Amino acid sequence: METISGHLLSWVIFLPLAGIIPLLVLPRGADRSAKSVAAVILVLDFLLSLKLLTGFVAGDGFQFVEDVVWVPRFGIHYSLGIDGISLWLVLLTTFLGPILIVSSWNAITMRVREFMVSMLFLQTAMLGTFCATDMVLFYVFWEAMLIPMALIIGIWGGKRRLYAAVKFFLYTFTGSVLMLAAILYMYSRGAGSFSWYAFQNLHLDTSQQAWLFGAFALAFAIKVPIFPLHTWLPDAHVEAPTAGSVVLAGVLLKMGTYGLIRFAIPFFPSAVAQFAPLLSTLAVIGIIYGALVAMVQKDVKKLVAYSSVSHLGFVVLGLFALSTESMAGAMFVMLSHGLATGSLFLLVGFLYERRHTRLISDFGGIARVMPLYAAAFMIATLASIGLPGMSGFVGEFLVLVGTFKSVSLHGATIFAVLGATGVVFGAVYMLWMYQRVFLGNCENPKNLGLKDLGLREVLILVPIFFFIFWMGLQPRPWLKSMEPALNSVIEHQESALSAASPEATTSWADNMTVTPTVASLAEHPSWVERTATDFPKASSEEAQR
Amino acid sequence: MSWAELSLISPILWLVLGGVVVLLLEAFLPRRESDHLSMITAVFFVLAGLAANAGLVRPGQSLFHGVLRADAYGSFFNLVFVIIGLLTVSLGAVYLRRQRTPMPEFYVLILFATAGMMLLASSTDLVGVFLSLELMSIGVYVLAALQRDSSHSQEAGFKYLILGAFASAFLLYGIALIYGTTGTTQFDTLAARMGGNPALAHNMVFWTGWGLIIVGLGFKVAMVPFHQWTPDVYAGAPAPVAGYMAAGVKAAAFAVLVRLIWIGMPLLMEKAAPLLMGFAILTMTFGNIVALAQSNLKRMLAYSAIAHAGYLLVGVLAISGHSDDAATRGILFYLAAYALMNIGAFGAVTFVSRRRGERAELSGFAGLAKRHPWVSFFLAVCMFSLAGVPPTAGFWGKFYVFGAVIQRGMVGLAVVALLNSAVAVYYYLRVVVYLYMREPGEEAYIGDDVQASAAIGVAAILVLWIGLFPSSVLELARLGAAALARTF
Repeated sequence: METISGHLLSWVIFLPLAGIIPLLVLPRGADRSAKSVAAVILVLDFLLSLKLLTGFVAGDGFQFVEDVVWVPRFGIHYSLGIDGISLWLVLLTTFLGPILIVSSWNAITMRVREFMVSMLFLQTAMLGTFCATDMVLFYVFWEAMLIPMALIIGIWGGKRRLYAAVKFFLYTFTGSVLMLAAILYMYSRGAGSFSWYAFQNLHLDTSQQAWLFGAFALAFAIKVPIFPLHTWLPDAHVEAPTAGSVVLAGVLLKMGTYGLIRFAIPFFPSAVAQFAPLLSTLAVIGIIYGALVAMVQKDVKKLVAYSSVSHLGFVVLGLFALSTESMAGAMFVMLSHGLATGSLFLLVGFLYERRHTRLISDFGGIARVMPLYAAAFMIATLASIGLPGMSGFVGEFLVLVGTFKSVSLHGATIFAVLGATGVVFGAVYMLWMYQRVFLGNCENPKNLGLKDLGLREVLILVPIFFFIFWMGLQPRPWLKSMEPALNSVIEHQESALSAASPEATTSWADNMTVTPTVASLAEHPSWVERTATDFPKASSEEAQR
Repeated sequence: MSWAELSLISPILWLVLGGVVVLLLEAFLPRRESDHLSMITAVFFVLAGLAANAGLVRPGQSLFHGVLRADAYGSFFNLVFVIIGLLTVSLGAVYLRRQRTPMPEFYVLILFATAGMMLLASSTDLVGVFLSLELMSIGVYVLAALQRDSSHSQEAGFKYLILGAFASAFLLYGIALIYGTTGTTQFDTLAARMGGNPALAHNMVFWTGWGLIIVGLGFKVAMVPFHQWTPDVYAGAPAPVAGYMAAGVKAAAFAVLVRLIWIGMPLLMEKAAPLLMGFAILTMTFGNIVALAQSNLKRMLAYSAIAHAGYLLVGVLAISGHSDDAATRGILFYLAAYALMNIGAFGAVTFVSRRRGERAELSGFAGLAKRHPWVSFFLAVCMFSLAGVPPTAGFWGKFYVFGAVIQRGMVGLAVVALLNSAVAVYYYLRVVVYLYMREPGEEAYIGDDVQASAAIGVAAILVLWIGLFPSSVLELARLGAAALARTF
């Protein structure tokens, strides 16, 4: 027990990798046992990661720190740690892990063992990316993640899987090599080691910051993806098997936004101030563009994929508005999008397993045939739209409020207003799709025999929905644990900028005191509770229709 | 010549002794027994390796009136050559068994050629460089043409011989010009004269000599525009030999090139840097772009070898001449990592090949993962390593070399190199796509040789091991680089 608690993060990260060993010794054709082993390992990993939650103290900086010298000559360390930002992403990852395995129980029929090995390897790489506090260690996990993901798309994907897998790999790899150049450059500029702290405290002039920020932001923007670097996403999502799409939407896209908030924003304060308008503009374009393109999709999965572009636009907008609310909102959207979009992809996958098509025009009126499925889809749809009482609402609301109040972002009001239209569009494309697929008369005879959700499928969805509601109704504990970490990001930005230009200090600081913090918002959560009480009525009405 | 001096070059002596022993055994043993020769050869390689290992910690010492130098730099390369030799002998034994006509001269040639590589890495005299280069090259000329009934192999050997002879002539001419202008061929004297004679900086004959030497070595490392032989020779030579060339000959040529650059610092770098930079960019970009279009694994690896020569040249440009030079360290690490992953990749071709004709078409590798999961996994590891994806040795090679380049302030060059490696990902990844994501076609390859898969496995596991724990090899590379720095 002693050894586990001392290296808890390492255990959480590497338990899935260790789970590969029993998979390798299984006899040929033991597919069921392979699935069970993988599921058990990931459930254990999730339980282990809950220990992180119980031992976590909000506001203490990096916790569960581990630090071992890895390559002494270059000052590269195997150093891990999590704060309020990464804690939730780690938990999201470990939470989705077992769900992914169970969801692919029947969907993956060939090379099951290899699939499970890829999933376990991917899990380790993703967890490592969120926990690494050494730049090289981070980079190693970040790149290693590409291998299993490309294999998952390329081996178990749809018809154009090869194209999608190679495109995914090339896009992300190209962005990353420039980040590697930037990391090496920062090291050579006197960071002395590759530790996160050393990089954060490095003094760089404005033009260096601009270039380095560009290199980091490009790598992350491709991953998010920020418009116009999103073109790999629809291909990868559509071609990937269901579990692959869920992990892409649920966790991988968050790597990009996590990278922005963990590295790009704290490392380059002046460049952030310089580029925030540009990135916010791209974010708003992404919100609206993603929504409009989603509206005209014929394929449900593609529609959900484009909705991700739109939702992640909110995250980026929230991050670069640089106010406590907007950043907390961005974090919240990251988690909520992982759950809501994850469940949408799962549901689309269930339907595809039954009908082997995802075209909206092939369906219509299937709510009559599959009432349970239709209800579940409605919950996921509303969560994605951001209905009050569900997790999506809190996040997008905070992002918009925070952006509206942002003092550092010029023209924040315009960004907030334009971003808000995305919420409206979101309701339009999701509900319109819902109407065309589920409502009306069931005219296509092939759909008449569709089976409703089975027990396994319900068991997969229930925990996700549980958290969607919990986060939507009780956002306070979540926000509270994130707040100190987010505040320290903002404070660092603030102090770095004030050190750079004295006149800017006064206006910045004055305005900051006016801005209420999330904690104060959470102490008077009237808006949350009011909407929450209205909610059950609304949703039961919807379901009856 | 004293016994003490001889003991310091014991790795080379073991290999030469091994060559003689195998040659004699071949004459007296019945031919069908020749399979044992691979074991005997391996024993001599191991002995040489142990001797090389002991040399790592010894202080450097000049031998035979300054023709050779026994130091950690040479010992590092000796160890690399021993590993290359062992893997090649193991893959070569598979190849020879398949040919059914015994060719024990394979082992003799490998032993002598490797001795030549070791001499080359330890040479500190231009005449010594020339002689050891020839000792290495003559062995490799014959090895490339080993497949007697294949016109491709014959063409490969002949092409390599003719163009190699040209390159040797360039090198020799360059040596002559340098001797003519400075009056010495010894490295340390040369370094002293270059430092103490400002008139040399404007002496065109002297610089022409350097230029010709660079051309001669550029041929061996496949630097554009002296690379034309590479694809045909790699594709035509038997796969174990091609791997041996890509790993060993390249490492040996870079070993001497780096030593030469160190002598000429800083004067040489000042003059040659812009030209070398052009060559480096041209080499990696050309190699990568042409490799994109290849449908044969061996030809693709040939162009990738050109590209890697370009990355290494980028590293050479960053050599600073400081006592703790990051670029030299990085190059040594890179060469060791590159040797392993390349032999692993060529080993996969050996694995699937048949008695007549090598089988290296990418389409034949389609779906290999279903029939040979382990070999496919090993080949995929080598491919990811060549592409520079962590956690593999290839990633750290790029990390150290490009890190040193950035540290020297050549950020633009490093960015060009990194973008190049992003282009390269496409063709390496394509091999993985064939292995894992395509269905086997009509001509799907099947292999059955345990020894070949074991050799590939050793290479791939070392690649992964170094990828996870790079420190130990880096420390060896540091010893080597530091020894070089103390020389001048």
